[in-house]
Amino acid sequence: MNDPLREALHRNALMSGVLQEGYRPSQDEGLRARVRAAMNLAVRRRRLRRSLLGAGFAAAAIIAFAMPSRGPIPETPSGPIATAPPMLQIVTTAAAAPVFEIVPTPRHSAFEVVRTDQLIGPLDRARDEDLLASGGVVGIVGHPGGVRKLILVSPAPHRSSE
Amino acid sequence: MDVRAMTRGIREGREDAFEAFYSGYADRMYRYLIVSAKGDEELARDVLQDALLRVVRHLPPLDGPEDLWRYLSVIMRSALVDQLRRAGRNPGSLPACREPAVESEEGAGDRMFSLLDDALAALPSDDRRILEAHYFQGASQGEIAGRIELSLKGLAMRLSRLRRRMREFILEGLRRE
Repeated sequence: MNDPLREALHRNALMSGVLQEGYRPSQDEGLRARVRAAMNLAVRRRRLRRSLLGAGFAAAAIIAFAMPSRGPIPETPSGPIATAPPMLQIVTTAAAAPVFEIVPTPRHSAFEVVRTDQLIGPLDRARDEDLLASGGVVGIVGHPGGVRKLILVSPAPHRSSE
Repeated sequence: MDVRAMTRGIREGREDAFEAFYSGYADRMYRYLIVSAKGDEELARDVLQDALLRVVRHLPPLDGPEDLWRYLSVIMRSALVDQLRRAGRNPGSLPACREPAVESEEGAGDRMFSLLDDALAALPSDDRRILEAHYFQGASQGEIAGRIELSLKGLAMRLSRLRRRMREFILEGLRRE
C-alpha cells in the first residue's frame, strides 16, 4: 500500500477496533450522567453567585445613597426655596429595625413624615431651618432636590415595630 | 458545533453543548490518559472522571480546537498528579507528570500507533493476515470467512479475540515504557 493517507485511515480503523474492545467513556452512561449533573450544578451555582452579587451591589448602592455627604454643607441660597420634587419615598434600614410611625399627610403634601424615637443610621442634620424650627424634626435624608426624602420627628407618640 | 459555541454552551448548561463535548472528547481524553498513565486503565478512568468534572465546572469560553485541547491537557495532567498523590504514589514516576503540561494529542497517538504496529507484527501470520484482509484490504467478513472456512459468527469472534490481544499488547507496551 503506497498511499500514506489510505494507510493512515486503515491503521486508524484498526486502532478504533482495538480500542473498542476495552472501556469506552462515550458508552459509559453512568459517567456521562455524573458529568452532566456536575455541569448543571456548576451552572446553578454561578447563577446564584451572580444574583447574590447583584443583590450585594444593589444593597451597596442603597447604603451609599442613604449615607450623608461628607462635604461641607452648602450655604443656604438667599433666593426662594426650591419646590420639593413630586415623588417621595421613605428610605429605611431594615437591619436597624427602627420603631416608627408614618404620619398621615395631606394628599398633595411634598413630604412623607415619619415619627420615631431613634435615628436610622447616621444622618445629616436637617438643612431646612424652617422645618427644624417647627419642632420635632431632627433630620432629612436624601440629596437636595432628589426624589427621596425622610423626615424624622422625635419622639414617637407610640411604638410600632416593622 | 464549533468550539466557541460549545464552550459557551457548557457554561450556560446547554444539553446540546454538553453532548457535543462528551461525545467528541471523552474517548480522545481517555486515549490520551491511557498513554499518560502508562497503560494503567484504572488510573486513567479515575483521572478521566476527575478531569471531566473539572472541565464542566470551570471551562472558560475558548475559541478553537487547539485552545480547547491545550486546556484539556493541562486539566488532565493536573488531575493525574492529584490522583497519584491521593493514591500515595509519586507523580514524578510518570513521564507525563514531569514533562510540560501541554503534550499534543498527536504525540500520545503516535505512541499508540507505534505499539499498534508492534502488536500486529507480533501476531502469528495467520491471525495477522485475517486482520490485514479485514482492515487494510477491505475484504468483507463473508469473503474472509469463506477463505479460511469459518462461519461468519466464528470469524467475528476470532476478530474480536485478536483485537483484544492487540489491545493487551499495547497496554503492556505502555506499562513497560
